[in-house]
Order: sequence, then structure tokens, then C-alpha cells
Amino acid sequence: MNKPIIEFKNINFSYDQEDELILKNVCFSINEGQYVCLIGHNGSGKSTIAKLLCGLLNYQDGEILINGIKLNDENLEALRKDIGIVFQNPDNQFIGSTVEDDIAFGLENRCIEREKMISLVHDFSKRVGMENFLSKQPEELSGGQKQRVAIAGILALDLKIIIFDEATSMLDPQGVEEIRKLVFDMRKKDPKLTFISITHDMEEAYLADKVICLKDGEVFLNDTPENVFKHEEELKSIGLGLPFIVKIKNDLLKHGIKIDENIKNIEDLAGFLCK
Amino acid sequence: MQIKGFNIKYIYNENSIDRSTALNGVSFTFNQGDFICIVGKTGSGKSTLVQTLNALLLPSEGYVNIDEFFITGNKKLKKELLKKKDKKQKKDNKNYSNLRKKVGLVFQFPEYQLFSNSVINDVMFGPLNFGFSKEEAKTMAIKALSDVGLNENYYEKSPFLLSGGEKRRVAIAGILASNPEVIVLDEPTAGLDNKGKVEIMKVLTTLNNLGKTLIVITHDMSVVQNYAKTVIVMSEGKIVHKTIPDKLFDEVDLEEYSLEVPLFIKFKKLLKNNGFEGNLEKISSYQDLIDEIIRIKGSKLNG
Repeated sequence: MNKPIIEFKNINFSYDQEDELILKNVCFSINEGQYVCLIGHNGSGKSTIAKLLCGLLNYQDGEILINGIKLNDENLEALRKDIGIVFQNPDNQFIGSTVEDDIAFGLENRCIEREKMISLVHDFSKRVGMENFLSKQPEELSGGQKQRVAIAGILALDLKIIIFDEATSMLDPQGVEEIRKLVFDMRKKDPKLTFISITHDMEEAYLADKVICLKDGEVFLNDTPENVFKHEEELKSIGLGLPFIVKIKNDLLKHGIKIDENIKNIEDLAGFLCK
Repeated sequence: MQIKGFNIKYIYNENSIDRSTALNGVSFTFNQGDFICIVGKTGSGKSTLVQTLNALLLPSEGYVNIDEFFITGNKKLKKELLKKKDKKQKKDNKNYSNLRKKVGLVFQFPEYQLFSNSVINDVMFGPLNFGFSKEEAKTMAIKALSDVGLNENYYEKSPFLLSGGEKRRVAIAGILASNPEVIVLDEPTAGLDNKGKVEIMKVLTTLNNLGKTLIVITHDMSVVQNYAKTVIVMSEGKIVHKTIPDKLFDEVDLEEYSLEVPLFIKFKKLLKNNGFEGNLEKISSYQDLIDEIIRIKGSKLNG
């Protein structure tokens, strides 16, 4: 599938015209069904891209195309129906008075019939491990639990594009792994589902189809993880590290121990070193 | 100043069908100047525990003792503990506001609680609330901001226009301004990039070097490994391990408590299972591991 579903063309953006540009001539495209990680230092413009993409911010300069259609005021509502975003701060997006209401909110807005809605709410609350909390109010939940609820609310909507803006930052490692698996399963079931993850986790970025790295509002690298993480020094200069497998391969290479290029995970690397 | 916990229990919604036990008999001693990391999966009781330290939550049973303060929600026990104490101490234990000057608590994502139009006003809010004059509060705020590495160029800026790491430092300064002896932080590095993380941890290390006791809840094992002096593992409302970071990975099966296993530890296990020839026993850091692989594989290449 090589059909671009998202295209950014020469986007310049600032919150205030007199302010410095937050995004500078940003160009990239994402194909349908791709899993893309947006990485970059704090303040590099990652979240601004996400907000532009779902029409929470308006752009003046450049073009954003969704599925080939230029995003503008008139078609915003229609295009937005296919895009969902989960933000980092779950308190900003908890709308319902209970977990159940909150997961149902988006479905209600889409006029899903009641019976189907109830079954979706139950299904997705279960998938994020919140099925025993349906009647709880937000103040009774931890940050991580609220994040799970926000994720369920978006995943239940049968969207074409899903954006996670550090949506699992308050979960423990096991929780992060659970959500990652859930997204993986959904993508497997629906290969057309495009998934964009804004993350600081280089291990996650290494698993993506494509990594877009931002630096001070510009697209700095835009390539496969393999190629992006060849730029060790440049990434280091903006405070980003390397995935473990890349780092260990580099460090061994510096001492003359060459690892087979096809080795892409630590299981294979361990096998290789024990041969 | 020591912090001691005596068999603390905490039950949420004690009188309802929703009751759930968050702490189930926790005892501890934290010494002055220690840098303690508390790890454990979501729901293990970490956040509940630290909230008892400045009396935001009062233990249902047992108590915390910090200097003249006895923190408990058990009235009978409290009466007994304060029986032979003088008037002042009894008064201090009434609403605990003096305790909160000693023990500062920084919540998760504290930058979400920033609200002022300027950095300096935000940091002054705490001291003003504790009854200090405007002038005193300003002096305290300036000191706190300098402790977190923010100079006068930041004072009049809007906190909302700062980077993630800077915002968080402002929020920490807000707690520091009241000059607490103990600083408790819930996930201080969550959501920050590597640079922001190092900035924050540097600030915390400096504060610790100044003699302040740091108690940090974290999921991040690199924080534990690089900064903690003591590490505590919690599970199901109990403290199940207390050790030093160097021993943590050897002594504790992190997976059992759904904790993040550092990748070098995972890799070490994989090497072991694959029958790696080198000596993997004493490896406690990434660098050790690399050195050992080079010792074995490098010698082969060279020989």
C-alpha cells in the first residue's frame, strides 16, 4: 500500500504571527497503513503537527492533504471523522462523568446505535483493562488509568488515522506493553489503519515503518528506523539516544566486532555472539 | 531528620463496598540525606505511601513519625501517641500545616498545575500561602529558581511558553521555595526527553548534595541506577525489597513485579541462555557487559 494518506507540504506555523516559527517548511508524507513515529526534543514541534493534523490548529502557510484532499475549514468536520488523537494529559480529555460515559462519548457523537455502543464500550474497556472500573469517576482513577480510558475511547471509533501523543506516558512498563500489543493487533486486523506515535521511546521508534525526527521545528530526518539511527551524533546533539540493539552493535563495531546486518533484535544478537 | 513508618495501613473508601486496601502494613526508616527511589507497578501503593508522608492521606492504621509530627487517621492511636506531649506539639499535629513546610510533595506532571502569568508569581504562591510577606516570598522564590537552574531571565516569562523540562523545573521550584527538608516527587522524569530528564535529575542530585532527603517514585530504571542511594520495591501494598541500586538487578526478579527490566539485563540473560562463554556473573552495568563481550569475542578476532 503506497497511497499517501497524510501529506504536509511546506507548512510554516506560529501561534502568533510575531512569534518565532514553531514549524519551518515542514514536508513529509505518510502512507495508508503505516506506523510512523514522530521523535524530537521537547518543544521541537511534534505536538503542533498532531494538532494541525486533526484541525485543532489552523494553518495559514502551506498545505495539508488528508487522503489527497486539502484540509480546509469547509471539509474539516468531515475529514476529522476519520482521525483520532490521544493526548498526553488525560485530564484534558476526560469528558464523561464516569469511565463508561467517557468511552461512549465519541460513539454517541457518531450516532452509533445504542446496543452496538454498549457492546463497543464493554469490548474496548476490557481491551485496555478497565472493565472493572466502568462506573468510576475520573477523580477515583490514577493518571495511567485515565490514559487507558482515553485510549479506549479513541480505539473504539473505527478510525482511519490514530495519533498517540505520548498517550502512555503515565503507564508502567507492563501497561505500555499491553497497549502496544493492542495497537499491533488492531493494525493486523485492519492493515489500512494508519498509526502515528509521538514518543520519546527509541525502542518503540525502532519498530516503526518510518521515523520522522524534528529539530527546532524542522524535519531533520525522515526515513526507515534503520537509516535514521545511523545518525548517532546528530541525534545525540538534540538529546536523543539510540535503540539498544543499534547502540550495542555500534559499540561492538568500534572494537572490531562486526555484527551481521540482518540482526535486528537482541534475541538474534545473543545467538550470533554465542556461535 | 528521620522519617519512620510504623505498620501503616491505608484503605480507600473504608466504609463502602468499594473499599480497597492500598497499603497493607508498611514499616520503614528513611534517613536524612538519603536519595530513595520507590518502584513498583501501578496500584502497588507507591503514591498512597508518599502522600501519607505529608499527611495528605492519613493512615487508617499505624502512623508516620517525622520529628514532632505523628501522622495517622486513627484517632485512638493519635491520642495515645500525643498523650505525654506538650501543647505546641499537640497543636502542630492538629492540621499538619507546619509539617508541609518540612515535607514538600511534587505530584506527577506538576506543570499541569502551573497557573500564574509569570514564573516568579507561580513560585511565590507557596510561600505566600504559608503566610510569608511578599518580599520574603520573592526572596524565597528567587533562591528556589536558582536551585533549579533558572535565572532572572525567566522570572517574568509565562510558564506556559517554556519547554517541558523548564516547566517542570518551575513546578519543582514552587515546592522548593518553602525550603522543605524532604522533597517527595512522583514520576519526575515522565514525559520528558532525555535532555529534560538529565536536567531534572541534575537538579535533584544538587538538592540531595545540599542535604535534602529525596524520595522519588519512578518507573525509570536508569533513574534508579544512576541517581538513587536506596531503592524500595513495592507490591500489593507492601514493601517487598529494600536494597542499593547495584544489587537490585541481581537480588530482585524485576519481571515478577512488572518492573522494567533494563535491556542490558535482558540481553545478559539471553547470552547466558545461549551458553555465552564469558563470565556474566558480576555484570551490573551496560559497560561491564560490553567489556566482557569484547574480552571474549575481541580476543578471538585478534587471536
